[in-house]
Amino acid sequence: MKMSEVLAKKTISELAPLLQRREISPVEVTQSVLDRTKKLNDSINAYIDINNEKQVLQSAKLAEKEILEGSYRGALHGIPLALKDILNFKGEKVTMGSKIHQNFIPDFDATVVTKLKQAGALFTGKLNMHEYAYGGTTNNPHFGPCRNPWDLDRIPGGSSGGSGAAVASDMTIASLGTDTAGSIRIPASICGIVGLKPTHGLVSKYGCFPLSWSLDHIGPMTKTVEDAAILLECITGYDQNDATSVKSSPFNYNEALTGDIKGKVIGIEEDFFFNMIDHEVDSLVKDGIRKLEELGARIELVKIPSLKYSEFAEYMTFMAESALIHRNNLIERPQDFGEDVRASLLLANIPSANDYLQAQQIRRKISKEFSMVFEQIDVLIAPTLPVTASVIGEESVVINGQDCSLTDTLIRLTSPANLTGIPSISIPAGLSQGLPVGMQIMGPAFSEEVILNFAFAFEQTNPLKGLKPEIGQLVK
Amino acid sequence: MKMTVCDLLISMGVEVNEEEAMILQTRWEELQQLKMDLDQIIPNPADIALRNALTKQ
Repeated sequence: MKMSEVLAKKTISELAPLLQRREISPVEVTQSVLDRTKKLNDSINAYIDINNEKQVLQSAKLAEKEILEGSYRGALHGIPLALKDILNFKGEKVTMGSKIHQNFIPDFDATVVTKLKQAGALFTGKLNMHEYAYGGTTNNPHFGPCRNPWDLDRIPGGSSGGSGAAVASDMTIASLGTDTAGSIRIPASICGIVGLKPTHGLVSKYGCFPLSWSLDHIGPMTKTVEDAAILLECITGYDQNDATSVKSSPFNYNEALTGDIKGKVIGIEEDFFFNMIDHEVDSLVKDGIRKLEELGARIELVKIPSLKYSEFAEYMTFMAESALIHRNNLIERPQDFGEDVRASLLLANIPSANDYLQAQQIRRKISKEFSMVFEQIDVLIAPTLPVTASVIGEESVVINGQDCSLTDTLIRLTSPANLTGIPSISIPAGLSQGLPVGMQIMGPAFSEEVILNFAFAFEQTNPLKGLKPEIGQLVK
Repeated sequence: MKMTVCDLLISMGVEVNEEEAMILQTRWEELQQLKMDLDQIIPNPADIALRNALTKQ
């Protein structure tokens, strides 16, 4: 491997001490990421827009100067990141993966961007996504499909597919995505990386283009659990600009990563979360749960009966909310949406007030049942997805011989955490026929340190056996 | 009088052709199936109104 490739493959937690001790420079790290991006992006299409190299390296040089002068800001100082192209960067184009917003330039930073800038992070570009976050494939008609680094004919998942693909292929050290029905966890599962959807309200959504206000979340997408903890600590905090922001205290999530889960209780809900799951996915996730049991945790079967209505609640909620968000453009310029998003938005205008209100009622019921269950257990573990990555362009998927809608399949298991706002992290559980399988760990609201620690404990068992996508043939 | 999907969207000012409307109608009916027996089970007291949190007494 070329020396210039080595740094791009590292994690935040590996790079940070090297940067702090001045053993490497932010310029070297950033150059390494940019070089790798230039080599791979034509094949993977993870980036919608790569920032001007000279300007990025200039900002890296500034970071280097600060560190050399003794003004080291912390773990993210000098680390090059790339974020999903849905988060405002003041004075820079933010497209939402759309034609309609292709030239949109916001005049303020998203709160999470402000926090990352204050932490000294650098930015190499904007990552591809499903148009307006309204889908799970990142097969973007305006900017081209993003491809899965594990198999370039397959989807990276979505809607934060560019983030998933870029992190998996080391085209960025880490990223932020958004999650309304699973859009952080779906690409995390499919691309074999870590993706965390925090508790609703923990991370400000100010400056993030909405898909569905009551379901939207922003969260880290990273190579490791430790990196997710580092990013989460940076982006959490009360924001008066976000009406749903909660007054949480600062928390060092990294300190919670002990790997000790002795005596903790893992809940398994079989009727919903293990129903209609590909056999190999089921097997890998259950193997994963057994490994956690070997580490000292106890298993308990639980029931959450109202989960059977969660798909209805998820669809009615995000359809109604997204219909309002896109209403004017759907009337005035419908031809400028991609075909699939336009069709989804047409459908989104159909639910009645009754449908929406019933959805909110069932959300409360599901939430209450989760709360009761969390009185007996510490975490609930389930597959992130019932399947692995499908081929780009396919709209259905076969699960154990049965044809299923791809969209319905992708969001089925991830939606409950959006409906209830509870935190959920997806981590790699292994490979099925060479494709990553994800396992999700859910906890009660504001229990990020618990689910991160469980994820960390599992990560130490090396579920991917150190394997990364084989994209050597793309690297000259 | 029951409105079709096509009538509903047109009444909102949204353009849709007949073929699209048929596909949407089918998909809408599929989504309604997800309701299952929901109409029978949600109790009226499941109020979704906002509540203020009492912080001082």
